[in-house]
Amino acid sequence: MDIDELSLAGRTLRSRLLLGSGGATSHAALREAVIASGTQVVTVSMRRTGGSVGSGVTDALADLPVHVLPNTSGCRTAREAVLVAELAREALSTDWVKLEVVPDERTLLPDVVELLNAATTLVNKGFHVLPYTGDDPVVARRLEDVGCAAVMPLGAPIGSGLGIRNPHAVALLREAVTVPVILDAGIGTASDAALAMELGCDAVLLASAVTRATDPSLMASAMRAAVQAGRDAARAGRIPRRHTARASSPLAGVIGT
Amino acid sequence: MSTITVNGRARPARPDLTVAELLREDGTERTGVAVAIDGALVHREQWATTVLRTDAVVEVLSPMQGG
Repeated sequence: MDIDELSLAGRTLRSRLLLGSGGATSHAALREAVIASGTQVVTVSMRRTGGSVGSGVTDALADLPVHVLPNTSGCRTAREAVLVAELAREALSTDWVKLEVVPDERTLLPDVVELLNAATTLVNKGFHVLPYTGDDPVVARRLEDVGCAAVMPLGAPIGSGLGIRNPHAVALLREAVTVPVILDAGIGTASDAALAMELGCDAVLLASAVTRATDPSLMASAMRAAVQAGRDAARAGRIPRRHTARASSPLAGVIGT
Repeated sequence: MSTITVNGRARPARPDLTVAELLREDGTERTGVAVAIDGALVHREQWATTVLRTDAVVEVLSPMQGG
């Protein structure tokens, strides 16, 4: 087997599965899921100190071979997102940021105007910007043009588990940019992750599908296998779809001829 | 005493209170904490010398599970 690594924002990754830490019931459950997933990148959010829910997550991950990727979840404007990214860089000593600018709580869809503004500012400030965006290829190209290190289109609304609602858009988006494409949001189960990879995505980021599964560790293992299977299938070159049957057994020598 | 806002809550503060002293008093001075005042990042190296003016709006954030 040749070595199939992902070059992402200056780092080389063997795993093409990125795991969000949100929704895990405990640090122990999160650690088990991280280990089972084989991931090398785990996202965290930045929140006000004082609340105890989910704090200490970086300590829980400290001895695992993972990069911590802060996000700007909860930010509704470019201004908020830029500040939170700067706070995350200070707190975590990383130039990586998963950029989220989400003003609508019902859909959790990104505001792409604010997103593009924030991405431009953060690239100029030296960040490796990984923006959470819609499945619009034109927006993806704009994000690439301003210097984003990857684009992260949704498959379906965050936390919905609806899978990839518009596979054709994701495939078109993949063709529109040269930076890595990471399918982010909407994954419900393993076949969704495999489909993302078969569509040509370079990686998958998911959280709820694992952390809120009945058995998070087992689902993490399933996602690991699905991402690998989808990646292999995409590289292997699938057969073309046909309207009619095509026998796989030899046609010559059948009885009755 | 002046008044400052820390993570959305009003709080009395000595006129010469620094960021470093605030975090020490609130028990939030630890690694993995970042501070902004009035919408601008204050680097850790500046905490000891940055005095909180009255009406300052302070945000103290740290990493949590999420995303």
